[in-house]
Amino acid sequence: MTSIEPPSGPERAYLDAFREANAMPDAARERVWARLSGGPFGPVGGQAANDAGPLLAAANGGGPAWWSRSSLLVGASVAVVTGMMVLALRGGDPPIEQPVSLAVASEAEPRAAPPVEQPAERVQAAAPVVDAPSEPAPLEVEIRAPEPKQPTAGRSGKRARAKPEPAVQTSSLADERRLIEQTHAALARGSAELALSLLRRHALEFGAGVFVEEREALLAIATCTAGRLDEGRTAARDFLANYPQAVMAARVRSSCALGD
Amino acid sequence: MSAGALQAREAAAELERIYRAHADFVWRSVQRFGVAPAHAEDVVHEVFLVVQRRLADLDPDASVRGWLWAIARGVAANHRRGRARAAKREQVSLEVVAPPRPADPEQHVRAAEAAAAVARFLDQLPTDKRAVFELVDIEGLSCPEVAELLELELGNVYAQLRTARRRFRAFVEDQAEPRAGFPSLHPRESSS
Repeated sequence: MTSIEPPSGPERAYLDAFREANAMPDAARERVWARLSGGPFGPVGGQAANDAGPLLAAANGGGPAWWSRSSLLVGASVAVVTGMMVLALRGGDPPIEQPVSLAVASEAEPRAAPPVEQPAERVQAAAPVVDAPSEPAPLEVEIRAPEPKQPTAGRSGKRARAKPEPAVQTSSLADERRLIEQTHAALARGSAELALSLLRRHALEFGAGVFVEEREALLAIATCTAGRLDEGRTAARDFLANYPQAVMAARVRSSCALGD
Repeated sequence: MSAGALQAREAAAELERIYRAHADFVWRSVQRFGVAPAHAEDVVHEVFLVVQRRLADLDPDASVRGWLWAIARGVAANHRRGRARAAKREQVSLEVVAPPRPADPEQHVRAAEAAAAVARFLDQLPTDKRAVFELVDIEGLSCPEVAELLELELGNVYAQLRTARRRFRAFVEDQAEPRAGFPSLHPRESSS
């Protein structure tokens, strides 16, 4: 048998760099372990968890999230059924099916697009932005068509969005800001892929939002940090062309090793 | 403590030991099997749920990594089937996973370039050679282990590995050429 010389020197350095770059991020490792070791209901798995993804795990501190939704569903269902029974005993007509029960029914599907935050928060925060007033079911917010991403239009682009009602603006702005802050935090922890995931979510939910400039900058930084330098530098150059005076310009150049 | 509770505790400890020792390996493996990094965390979770269920089946004399590799392959295949449509909508190409961010940006860039270069090399390698090269030279499995995992003759594994290593050596030599003002990891370049 011919002996095979294992990689050494520069070859080993390349392979070590590759292995390190592809190591499981610490945050992801701890989240998965938290999900495996489980809470009072034991480990949670399945497609629902997959669909929710790491954001759900993070939002719920790594513990099972489905039980809180299930509790909500059971409670709502019991309330609806009880109300129907009371009306029936009074001899009245059964109530028209309420939007809440419709929403509950859709949520009962385990593979329906799950929310990425606690439902209770969604009910409060997202109800004002439902597009169709005739269907005020809060869970509809989770499956509404995302706002398409607008082409970058320079600094003026972020102000081009029509002002919504004050309540909507407050809620959306807070959500949008929170996403950007979470992205900053993910990058600070070295979780570039999580940052990219958050940015994708931002682009879907706030296509032409207030923080488009920050999103474009963070996208370039996170892509370069993730090691996709060609793609990241393209994003960085686009960003610098669109926002030459941006506060984050220096950081974008530094992260993607672009010269002046 | 009852026997059942004791057994459950031992199983939990064993699961944690395996998880801590091999999570990185599973993380990389599922991505080799085509899982996008954005979904890798959930797929790793699924893999270890299977591990948890099958822990009693683990042969103490068998290669844990080989066992994990086989489970990861199955879970990743299921995941790919389930996500095929959604994956088409993904806008970000996902080849290299998030590296930890070092304090030195230049070092970070060099390491990221090296990692990206290895990814490019792997992409151009034929599938059979790539699998052998990854498992032996990146993951540290032995050739007999790889032969068993891939159901290949041991001599075939050695042959694939030899060819892959020769190509990798030539590839790294090529990387020594100065590119875009970034110093290479190659010692000849860094010393000049």
